[in-house]
Amino acid sequence: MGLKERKIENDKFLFWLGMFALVSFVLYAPNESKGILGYRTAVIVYVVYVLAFLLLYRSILTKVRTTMNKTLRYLFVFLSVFVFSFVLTVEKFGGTDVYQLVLLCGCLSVLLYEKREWLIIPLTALSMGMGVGYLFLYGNIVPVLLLYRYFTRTDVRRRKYLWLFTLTVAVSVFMFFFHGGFRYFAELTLFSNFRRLGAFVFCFIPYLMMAFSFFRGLIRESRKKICGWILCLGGITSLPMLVLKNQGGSCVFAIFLFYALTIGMLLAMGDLDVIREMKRLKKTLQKWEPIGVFVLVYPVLFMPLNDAFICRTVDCMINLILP
Amino acid sequence: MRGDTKKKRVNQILLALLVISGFAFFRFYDAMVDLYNTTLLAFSYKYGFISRGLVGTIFQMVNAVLPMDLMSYDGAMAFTQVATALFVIVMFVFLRKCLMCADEKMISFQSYLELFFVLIAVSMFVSRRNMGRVDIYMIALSLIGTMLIIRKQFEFLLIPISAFAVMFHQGYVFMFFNVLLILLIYRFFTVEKKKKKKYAIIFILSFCIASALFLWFEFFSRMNGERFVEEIISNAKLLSYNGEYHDTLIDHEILGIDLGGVEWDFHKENFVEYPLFLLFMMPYIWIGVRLFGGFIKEAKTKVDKWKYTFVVIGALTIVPNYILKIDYARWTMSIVTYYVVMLLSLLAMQDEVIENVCCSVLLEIRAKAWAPLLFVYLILFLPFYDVFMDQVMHNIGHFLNVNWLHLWEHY
Repeated sequence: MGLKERKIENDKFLFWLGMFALVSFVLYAPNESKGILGYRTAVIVYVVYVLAFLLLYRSILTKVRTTMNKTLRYLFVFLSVFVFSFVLTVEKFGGTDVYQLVLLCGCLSVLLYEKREWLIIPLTALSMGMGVGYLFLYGNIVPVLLLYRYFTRTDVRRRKYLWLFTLTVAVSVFMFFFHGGFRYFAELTLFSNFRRLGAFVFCFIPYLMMAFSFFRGLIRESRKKICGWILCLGGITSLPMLVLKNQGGSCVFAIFLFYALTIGMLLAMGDLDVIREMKRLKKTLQKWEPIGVFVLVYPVLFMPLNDAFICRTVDCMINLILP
Repeated sequence: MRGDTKKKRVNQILLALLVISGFAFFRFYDAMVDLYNTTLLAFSYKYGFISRGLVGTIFQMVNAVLPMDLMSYDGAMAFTQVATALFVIVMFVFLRKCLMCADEKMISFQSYLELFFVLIAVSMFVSRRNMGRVDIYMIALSLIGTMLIIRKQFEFLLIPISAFAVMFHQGYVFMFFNVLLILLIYRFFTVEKKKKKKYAIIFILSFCIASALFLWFEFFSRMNGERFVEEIISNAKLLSYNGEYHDTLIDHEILGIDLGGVEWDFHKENFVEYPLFLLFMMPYIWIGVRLFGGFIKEAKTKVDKWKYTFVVIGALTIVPNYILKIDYARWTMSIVTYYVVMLLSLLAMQDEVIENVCCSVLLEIRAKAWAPLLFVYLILFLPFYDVFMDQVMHNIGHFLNVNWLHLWEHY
């Protein structure tokens, strides 16, 4: 398939993903917004949010190798199940998470195209200015990718990534302390929803097994093992929000977002180790066909995520089985 | 593929479908039986051979046999939960039968079809509006009848099966009877001359008995409703979650009052929402057209062309319901059930034309840009409701009506 045909197919796929976002909005959009700019603005910002993710997907799909194109579509479907519905709860609709995620898409786009990468610093500062929760929930993606790039590049530009990583982290930490630092955790809401979280983790065992197999192969066979460890452990920064702020849904979403986006970005950047592991995973799922497709389908039964009880499915499960 | 390897693969697929059914159950279960379905349990044949009396008769017989009193909402809920579980069991027995009988190269295609059906059926019949709906009994009976046709055993049982199904709800003749009739026609066209007589007899007897029962229930069974309506209302109030009863159900089925005027508002809403729903469903409609159009196109003989034409048009029996009644979501479920059960059955009977077309369409689907979204997108439109299609279409219809159309007044 030539580049032009691939772009047309990608655009068709993104059109249907946009339809998925539209239907999610019709189904889940709340009647009010707790954001300070009002309901109408929240709707417009949601549209911008969807477009930001679709454009990011488009960029990644354009840059990725042809053999990985279909695999990435499935990855983006999995991610979009949560991305498009997560911000449609009453608490999140029109809230700071939406703006922060739009800015995150901007950061990832400049990183992907390797143009004006210095914009990552002000965009990160802006995100942190909106809410310091960004540091723990979504602020790990860009630094991990910058560090990954530093360790995997061998040309003269690699030092630039070390500088970008250092400055990004410094700006984030500065903004965190500027906005009160650890006083953010002064009002603690300790996590207590162990049963629901446990049930959710149990339901996602197939994904945990896939992730375990993926990272085991990545760490064992990578040229630079430290990159594998950075990618594997980079997703745990949201745990303080889970434990100390009882934001179970946000934490789960942040973890899904981290791994899906970093793997997508690394595939687009042509990282050979990640490509190798994704091919292996694809082969395993094909061997298990059609059950492999079933595994891809059922996450949608767990949307939308929320902080109160993770999601409706798990809540119903616990109420019926362990009341 | 050796027999035991195939059996292992089939069992793995069924286990995966069962797990997904479990998640779908937890996602859509409302732990509630609606007024309509509890009121129906108050109907009984002790008042005469009344319309839709079978399920209430069974319920009240079970109540008489068991040591506990089921004449309460909790009893109605327990009975409904058991019935729904039995429906799911029958559905899975059918799905397994189809997988085991089909050629091994069709297992993947069949699995996707079964996933499609399981998601729609489970979500619909565990949600509030349809939990305990008599459609589960009708579908279960059609599936049992279909299995008998596939096995070519005890096919004469189709006659009492059809009769029982009409006794659950006379709408069966339009909704789910077509599956059995068309499969009988298909068998008639497929078997050798000496066996055609058997299928012709079963077809004619089933058709006549079901039609006679339909005419009785629809036009003659509501003559003495005033004599026992109070007792039915009193029992219906005991069985409901809020001490009320479904008044339009009793007005129509016991007292014979015509509801046409009352329902026109809902018709208007459906006339707006349903075409939009079909637009959203274009990928699935495309798949259906490619498959069933392909069967007729690939038919080699004139007899085969007639055979597949009957298969394609068999779903048209639902058209009168679309014109006269408002439960568009249930009619859609009826169409989905017809085509899915038809396709699974024909694959189980290893029809070569069906297999070849299915294989080629599956390759076409895999190449489509929307293929990764096929099931994920569908789930947003679940569960199917009864009158309104689903929550998505109801939200869109409500928005359009409030802001522009002002065609209906209910919400």
